[in-house]
Amino acid sequence: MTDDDLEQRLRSHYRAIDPGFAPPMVGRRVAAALEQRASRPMPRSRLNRAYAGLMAAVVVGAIGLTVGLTLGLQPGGFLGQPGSPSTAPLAPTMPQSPSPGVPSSLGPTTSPTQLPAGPDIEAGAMVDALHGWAVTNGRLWVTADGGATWRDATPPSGFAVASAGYLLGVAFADAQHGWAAFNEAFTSPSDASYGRVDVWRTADGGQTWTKTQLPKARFAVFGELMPRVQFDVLDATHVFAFQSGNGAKGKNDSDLFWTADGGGTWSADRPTGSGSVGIEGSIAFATAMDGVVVNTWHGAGISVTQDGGRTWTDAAWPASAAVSAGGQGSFGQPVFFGGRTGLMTFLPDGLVDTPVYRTTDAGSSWAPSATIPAGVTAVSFLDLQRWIAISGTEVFRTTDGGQTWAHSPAAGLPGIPGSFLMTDAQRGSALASMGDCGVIKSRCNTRTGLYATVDGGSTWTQLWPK
Amino acid sequence: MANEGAPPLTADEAIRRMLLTRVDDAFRLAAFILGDAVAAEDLVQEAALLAWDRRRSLRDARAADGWFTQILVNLCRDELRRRARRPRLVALDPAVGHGTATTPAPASDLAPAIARLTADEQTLLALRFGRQLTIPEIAGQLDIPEGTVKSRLHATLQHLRAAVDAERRAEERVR
Repeated sequence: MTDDDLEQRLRSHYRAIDPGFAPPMVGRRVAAALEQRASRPMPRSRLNRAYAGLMAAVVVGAIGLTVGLTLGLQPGGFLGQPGSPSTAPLAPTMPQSPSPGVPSSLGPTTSPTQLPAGPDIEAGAMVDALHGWAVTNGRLWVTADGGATWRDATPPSGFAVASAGYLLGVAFADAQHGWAAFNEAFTSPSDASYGRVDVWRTADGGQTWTKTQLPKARFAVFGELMPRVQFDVLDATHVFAFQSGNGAKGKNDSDLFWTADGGGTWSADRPTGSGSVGIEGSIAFATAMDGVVVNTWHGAGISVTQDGGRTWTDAAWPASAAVSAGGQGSFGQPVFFGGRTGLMTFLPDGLVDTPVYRTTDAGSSWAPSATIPAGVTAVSFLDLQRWIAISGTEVFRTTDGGQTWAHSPAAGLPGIPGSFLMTDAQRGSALASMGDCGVIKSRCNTRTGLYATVDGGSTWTQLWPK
Repeated sequence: MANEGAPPLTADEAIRRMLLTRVDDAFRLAAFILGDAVAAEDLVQEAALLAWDRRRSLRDARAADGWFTQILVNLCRDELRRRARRPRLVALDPAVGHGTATTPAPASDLAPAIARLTADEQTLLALRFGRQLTIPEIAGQLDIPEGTVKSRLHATLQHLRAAVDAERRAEERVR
């Protein structure tokens, strides 16, 4: 039997089993199932394998966003999630399962330049007034002059390996310390590297990088479709890496890893469940022991751990009026201050006020604290009292934990930011869509821009594209 | 383009509509991969719900079709893997005097040989020869390089050839 014969037989085989159009009942079943599912509260980022930048912001609400913005720049989703700027003493170092580091490699040393032309900026944020990072056109770029010029800081074998160099996540703790996760190169599923994750770390702002391999994940074993890695940075040496959502399996599962030495070694996998009943969502740790995963399918959508992710329970959370009434919504990224106290938004769909919830027990229970004005889609918590929110055309500020708000015009943003971070009361950055894709269509000119403010959000300068 | 001039859809509504318009294609593809139209109906519904749940993970609206197809293909592969792990149910047929599989009769003489392949290999064949996708299209659907598609396709055809031989030898033994 020649190859042509075999291929001909294959075509005949599939013609024989071609069912043609789906029976009408299938469409009706799908429509009914979607309608039923849509009536449930929506775990927003349960499946977002977020690029986890160091972001002390919570981006809220997809209210009124266009498809292009919402899908391309999911608030708090694909783009950087807030970190947890905890100042609490960390728990004792947990047992580590050594994962030997790979000898250090020099990263690219190209001269600073403007960000290159590319299809889009995928993720990025300013870390402080001068330093920031951005992923665009398949490369990782850093700036040390407030975005005027950028230097290619892509890890040595990162994007360069077209067959496997998929970037799974990026985070920076400060201008010097950063991490980038890639799935490891492989040529076939039988390779030892198949389904493995490399984490490159830098302690000099991307000048040099060192590679470490994450211990083998329990569930995330399909190398072609590795889940994103969400880094949750407690400080420059204490970091969680969370792989949530395994597209290849179609079931709930997630894998958690922990480092106490800046990424030199990582703990063994701490799967959030057995089989396919793990907890997916977005992590936020208050300490090395206390943390939450939000937008899960468990309980009210928040799972909490007090042992570094080894065991999880459902957190207590009072449903908002919107959810009680059958509406949809999702949680924003929790941000912790002082170890056990934290804030989190709940994002109801629709033009209603966004409630802010507060915890004083590291996420085990949450209580309503305040609301953000209707139509405001992004908020950055500087601390428990000082919050700054952006609607796209206005900036809102509170200094009393949301009890009173002052607002003024905001200029320079093309629209509602999809990601928003204030590093202090004056300086911050945002990613916003510069186009408008109102519907899903093949020709959509939406582009994402990186913007910065130095006056508390009143005026914004476009850093990318130039 | 049809909606230009109309008020913009919400993101969720756009996703919902996209999923509903993809039912026919998804059903056909799932049937090709699974070789089973009834199972394909369930898979399409499961895939639509999964896509709905994961709609926030879609980064580019332009990639919505491929994104949904990828979810569907992954579910199909999972189903094939589950089937591979399950023991085949065999009912004794006293009239014949030996075991007869309760699974439906194969639609073509290649079906038993295809069933011997791995889930990934069966998926690849369905995409290439059932759905008749090009190599670049398959690479896009599976999110793997074109070269990998080619090499896997080559290996899959070799495995299929061996499986056809194995099936033929098995039939000869029964006779």
